[in-house]
Amino acid sequence: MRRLASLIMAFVRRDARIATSYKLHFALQLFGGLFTVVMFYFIAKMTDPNASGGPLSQFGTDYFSFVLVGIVATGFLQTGVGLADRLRVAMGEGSLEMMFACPVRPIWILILPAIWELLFQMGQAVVMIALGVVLFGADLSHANWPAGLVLLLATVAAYSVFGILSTGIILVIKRGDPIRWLVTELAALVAGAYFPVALLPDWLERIAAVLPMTYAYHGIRMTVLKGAGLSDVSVDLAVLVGFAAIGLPLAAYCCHLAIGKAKRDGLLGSF
Amino acid sequence: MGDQPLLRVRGVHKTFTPRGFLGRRGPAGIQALRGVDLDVARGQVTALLGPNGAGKTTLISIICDLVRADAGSVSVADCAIPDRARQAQRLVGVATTNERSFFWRLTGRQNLEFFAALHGLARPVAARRSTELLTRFGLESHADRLFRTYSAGMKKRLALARAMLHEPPVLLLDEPTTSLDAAGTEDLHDLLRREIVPSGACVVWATHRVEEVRALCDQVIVLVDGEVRFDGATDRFMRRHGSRVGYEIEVGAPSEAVGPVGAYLRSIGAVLHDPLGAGADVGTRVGLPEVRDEPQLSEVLGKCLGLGATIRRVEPMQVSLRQVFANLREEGRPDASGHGSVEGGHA
Repeated sequence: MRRLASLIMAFVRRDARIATSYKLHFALQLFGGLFTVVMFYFIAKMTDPNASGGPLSQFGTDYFSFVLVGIVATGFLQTGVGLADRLRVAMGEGSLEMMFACPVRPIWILILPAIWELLFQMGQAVVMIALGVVLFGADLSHANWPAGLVLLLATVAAYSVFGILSTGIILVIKRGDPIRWLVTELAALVAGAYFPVALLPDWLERIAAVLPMTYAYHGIRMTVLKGAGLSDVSVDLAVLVGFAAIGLPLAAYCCHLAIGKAKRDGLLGSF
Repeated sequence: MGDQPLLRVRGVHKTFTPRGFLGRRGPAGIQALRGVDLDVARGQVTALLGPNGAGKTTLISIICDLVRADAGSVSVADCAIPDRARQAQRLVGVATTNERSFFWRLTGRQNLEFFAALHGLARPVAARRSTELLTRFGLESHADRLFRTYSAGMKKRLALARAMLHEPPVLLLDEPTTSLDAAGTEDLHDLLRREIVPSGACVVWATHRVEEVRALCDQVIVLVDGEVRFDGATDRFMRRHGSRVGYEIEVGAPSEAVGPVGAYLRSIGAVLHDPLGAGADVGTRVGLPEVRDEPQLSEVLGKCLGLGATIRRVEPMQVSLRQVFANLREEGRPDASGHGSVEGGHA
């Protein structure tokens, strides 16, 4: 554990230093989500805030608050699924092989760069939520933040399954990551990132029901918008934790196989 | 070799097979290594020589567990790779030509501290060790500058420092003097003599420079076309392949002497690399392949001086490595019985 903690700190220090060395890019990333928030604020103005009995009724909120939480949760989806991006950067920079020559489990080298991204994403989420609440009147007054945080952690763990699988694919085929594309498109289209799943036709709703992202959006919204406790979102939590518990070891194994193949092909560091 | 080898490579084969669409087998593979054997003992500096594409980097990559061999075995202090790769990696330090293996937006110190953490050094130890190595490698005043501002020589020195962070008993140096000028190369040689050889590490030094072999290495292994074609002591290699093949001089001549000096040099089979310049300040490199010993050389130099030339430099010429590799490639071709030969004392 001590070794792992030391590795985590080393990766976080490295990534924080590199990220903050690009000052303008760092600021744009941190505050860039503001444009999305503003855009959805105006889209939300077209919806009727007094409508009742509609698809938003289960969350007891207006569309802007609903979508604000969706945007923030999607940021964490991108962080989990985006592990492969950081691998691509390391392959492109040329640092990957040297890290693989060190006595560290290869899977840690692939996963640990996500820790800084996660911390950054949390900072970005705080900024977006604060701006949404203060400037645009999003209603998060009922939020159960501890329960929301637990859901968020379970969500990140579940999304990391896709990220690790993507990483394995990128190690072998170098470019073109079908998992990331599929997951982010499905999240946007059917899992409820920007509109309630209840609006979907039955057949798409059935697809949504088998996606962990659907449970992530639902659980996080219930805790943050309606103040639900963990017992109220136990199904969402169970699905996410179960998916992560089964998926993470399987994804790690697939990644292990991909690393072996990349070493056999002599293509570990090529991109 | 008296000592038990710290690094042992036995019968390593590696073929890179290009894959087509959806992983289908592509055209015939490239045989990078064909049954390579290598033993390096503690405290021994081994030159790994070979032309481009001979398999040197592939061999180093296999020892680092970055590439998997198809057959054969590799072990570092009895830790077999890949089965006990992480234990082996704790014993191996590697310095490559790839300066992109550093993080350009971190300082030299931050780079070292990051890699020290990957080698399992606790933070205070990593900081202390990084400072110590930065000082030893003459980078203390540049330690807190971004890596991207380093000169080529500084980058090479930092690569060596990184390889030594965890005090490994095995050092793999993949052409560490590539792209360095003469002064930078000499600096690096000094560092090797002063800091690395006394540490008792066994060093594998992949190089293209025969003068490095002569100056620094105890043992020479020559890879040609993925096969070991020479494995033996450096003096044996130098006796066999490093023998003098004449001299090279640098000659200047005033305009009135250009004609006679040029005519004389050509008459003794000299090779003028450039036209003989007019003026004593303009030096021209001249190869003297037919001049075999010092009395002969004295005679030639005396004649040139007598004709009004100035001699600016005299050096013995060595056979080129390209020629050595070509010879070894020829000698290693399978004979009638189907067996090639490995020169030297070990293979």
